[in-house]
Amino acid sequence: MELQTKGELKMEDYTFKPERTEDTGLAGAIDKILDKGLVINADITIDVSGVELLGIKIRAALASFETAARYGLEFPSGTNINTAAWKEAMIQKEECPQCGKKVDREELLNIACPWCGWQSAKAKKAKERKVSAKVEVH
Amino acid sequence: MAVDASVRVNLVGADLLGINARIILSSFKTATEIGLKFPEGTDFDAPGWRDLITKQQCPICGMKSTREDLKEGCPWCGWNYRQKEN
Repeated sequence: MELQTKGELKMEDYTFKPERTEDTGLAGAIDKILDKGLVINADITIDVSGVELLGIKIRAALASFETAARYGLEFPSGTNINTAAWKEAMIQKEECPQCGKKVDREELLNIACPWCGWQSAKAKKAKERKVSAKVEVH
Repeated sequence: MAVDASVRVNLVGADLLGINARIILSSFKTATEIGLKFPEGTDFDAPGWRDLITKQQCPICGMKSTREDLKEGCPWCGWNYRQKEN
């Protein structure tokens, strides 16, 4: 596997090595676009024989439900935004660099991925500090 | 992505139909940077906007963290710009 380099620094010097394969097909691309959100701004005019007949202004945003909820986009009237799914959508999630599952960001950063056990550098440092504190006490 | 299109239909030199279109497509982040408009009713106090402004990407792992976290080293991969190269 080719390693990414940044000058003299190499990915292998750091704590994680991505192992999952990315979905590079159309579904993956659409998933990525909707996750980041897409804004469309358009001004369209139609004229007949030089006389402007119709003008269309479009101000649109396309996003997944989670992204739309996080960025405060409006939903059709009558949508119940107090269900468990909306509360779940407001919790910030990150993709585990190892297994690719979406997990609560705070849990992934401070504890470990509940799916594959991957730990961030911060979680590993915190664990080392706890272990050395226990050793000192004994 | 920007599209600037002009379509004109002429018949025997006479201008019959004209369509002008100026369209921009971008991500939410780029849209806020270049000043695109969002649909009416968008709540700019939602948590997603705050994260967009306060978080930066680690150049090694690409994960986002606040500037304060990054000063001590990326909390995800451990990269620290103050590290001496071996």
